[in-house]
Amino acid sequence: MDKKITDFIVTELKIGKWKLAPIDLLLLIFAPVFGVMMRVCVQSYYALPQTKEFIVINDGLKVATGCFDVLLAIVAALFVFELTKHKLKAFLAYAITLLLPVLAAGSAMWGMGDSIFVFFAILSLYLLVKGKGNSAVICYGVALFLSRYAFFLLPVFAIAFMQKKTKLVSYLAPLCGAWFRNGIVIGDGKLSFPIFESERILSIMRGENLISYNWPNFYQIIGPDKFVIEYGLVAKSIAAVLMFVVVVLVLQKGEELKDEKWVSLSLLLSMVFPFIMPQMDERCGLLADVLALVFVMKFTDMYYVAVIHIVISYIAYSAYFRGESVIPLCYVAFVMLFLIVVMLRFVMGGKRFYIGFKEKENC
Amino acid sequence: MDDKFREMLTHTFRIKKKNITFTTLDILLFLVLTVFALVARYALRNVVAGDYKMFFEPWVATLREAGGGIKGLAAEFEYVDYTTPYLTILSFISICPFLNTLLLMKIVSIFFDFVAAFAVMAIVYHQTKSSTKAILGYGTLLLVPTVLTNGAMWAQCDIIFTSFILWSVYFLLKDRPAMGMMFYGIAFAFKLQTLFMAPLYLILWMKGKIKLKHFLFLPLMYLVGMIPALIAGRDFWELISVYFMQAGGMMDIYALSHKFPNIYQFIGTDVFLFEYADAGIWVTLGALMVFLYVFARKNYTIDTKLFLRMGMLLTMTVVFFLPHMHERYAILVEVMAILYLFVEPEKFYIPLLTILCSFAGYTIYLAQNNIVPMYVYTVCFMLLMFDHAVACVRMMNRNKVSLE
Repeated sequence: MDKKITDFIVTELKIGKWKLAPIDLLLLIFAPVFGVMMRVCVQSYYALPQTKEFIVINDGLKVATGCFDVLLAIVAALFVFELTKHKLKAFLAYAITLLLPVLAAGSAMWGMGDSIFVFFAILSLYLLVKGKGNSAVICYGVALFLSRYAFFLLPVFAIAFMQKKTKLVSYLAPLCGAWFRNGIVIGDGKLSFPIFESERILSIMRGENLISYNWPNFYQIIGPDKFVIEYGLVAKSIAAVLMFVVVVLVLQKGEELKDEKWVSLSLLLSMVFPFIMPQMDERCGLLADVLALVFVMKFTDMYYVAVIHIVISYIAYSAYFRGESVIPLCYVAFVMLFLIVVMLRFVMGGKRFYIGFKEKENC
Repeated sequence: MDDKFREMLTHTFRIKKKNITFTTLDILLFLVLTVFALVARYALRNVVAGDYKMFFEPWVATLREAGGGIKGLAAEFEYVDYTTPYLTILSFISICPFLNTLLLMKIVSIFFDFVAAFAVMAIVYHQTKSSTKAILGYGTLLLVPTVLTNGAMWAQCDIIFTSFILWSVYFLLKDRPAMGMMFYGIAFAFKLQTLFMAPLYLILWMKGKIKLKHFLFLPLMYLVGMIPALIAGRDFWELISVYFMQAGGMMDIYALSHKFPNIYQFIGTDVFLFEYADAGIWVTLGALMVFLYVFARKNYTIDTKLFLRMGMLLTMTVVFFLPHMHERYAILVEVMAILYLFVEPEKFYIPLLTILCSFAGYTIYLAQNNIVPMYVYTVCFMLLMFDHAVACVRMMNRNKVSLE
């Protein structure tokens, strides 16, 4: 009797064109259930000033981003399946994305719309890997319109163009995205759309007194409150140069980027730029969190990259929620630097830093 | 003369029925470890911890006022979170004419320290067939700081349910699932924390080591444990709902972690007490679901190493994410780490770091010392979890079973 039950739980059944075991279905059902329950527990919190209008905006955004969390989980799972052709890993990516504390806190607790931009950014990379370059660039344009953090992936799409994956005309999408966004958020444009309202209120509240807002980057090591304007300009210049250098180096190497190489390069860039760019805040690591998850599903032996990055991201979140970080952010910045070095070694020479086990032994 | 003495020390004894051999030196080692374990406990006998003053002493007084013994169990408490079996022990302590309450409570815990130590000895012997290693296992459990201080210094009783779980592990390793689950049921009758191990037992069921019917021992043993209180006239439903009340209890809500090095030490234990407390439960369930999915989905055989690694990983996952965890709640991980030391001695760092992390919390409670920030221990704890997760994946691959 017991054997019949346990065998049934793991026996694969043909459902449409998929072969799924009841245990897979249980995961597919319970991951969103647990994800929703997590979000329900924290949704009563309002991080920004509670005016009546703001609560309406914030609540709406919490629901919308919650829906995008589910979409993001699906895209992450598809992406992992595309890279690994491994069903179990795809299911795990789906479940873990839904249960990511950073994602849940960002959407249901904080009420910021980051998971929407992350969804479009990840979708754009997925489409790029699938060989649909032009659609990828359009999605990237939407991501860029929604958040400045999509900017981290700019070199990826520059390389994609140079490697004939995309057409030049499709780049109108990111151009328009960045242009509209600039007009709405930085300029005087009024678009009463919740995602921009939340960000606008947050940036007004904060001003520009610090060069890093709780993100464990280089400025946490040297002090985030000194030479804010001067260092800011220098950092932007360095970031621009770095973007150009990355594109040139990849192109000079003459190697065509495909599949996991897009992911690893994107992950490295989304770790490096928040580390050197000015005015980075707690949420700037979200893209890297999801990318790291996709990456480690392919390279299981580098599992620690995702775990550590997600923990770092949540430490940054909690620094905002609490008003200060429990662990001094300068120490966390060194851990971040370690992750960057690990990823840099990997991207440049395929060298892996193992903690525990090697790829040939992975699942 | 010298040779005779040497010969005497190395003389081998044999218990034929059980096929156990040991030397005089083993006996000496056993005696020395026992004596020193007792001496260490004697040294701690007069320490009065805050919990005793705040909880145990008033509880015992209430039981005494109600008549003590079985009669005492009819007492009405303002607040109590123990089930009938331990309250019965306390109730008999309340009318014991010898020694004081504190010492009697400590003696009960110390007795179970030895019950647990004998279980470790049996498990290590079963695995290694070495009497010396088995006795060293016995001594290690008795002398590790957390076990030593838990009962003998703090007068806590976590070792009671732990000792039953250890016997449960012993019988499961001996392929006697009914006995194993009976002891697990007894442990459950004593403490809710027994459920920290439940995910491991689920995996064992999935892998055919336990039958579904064996899980009936949990409610059965709980009901058996209720009998003294029922005789004393307590309400059946009130007794059966103790754990539900505990789970929804309001006693520990003032901090997300009570000096335990878990995830809340990274993000702060004193904010979003309600939001994180509720969300933390779902995160824990989610994390367990992911692990259970991986462990149940793959085809492999479970050996002792994998059994212990999985047990440690799953229990650590629970205490790492669940809110309101106390410094004592990793005791199951600690005893499994001690067992692991004798299964794979080169991994000595596992018990070392596990016990160090837990004892940091003990020190904060007992001595109000907080020299190293708690988040440092959390990093250690997390690294250990990495180590266990990696080892589980590796062992599952090594023990892979082909479906063909």
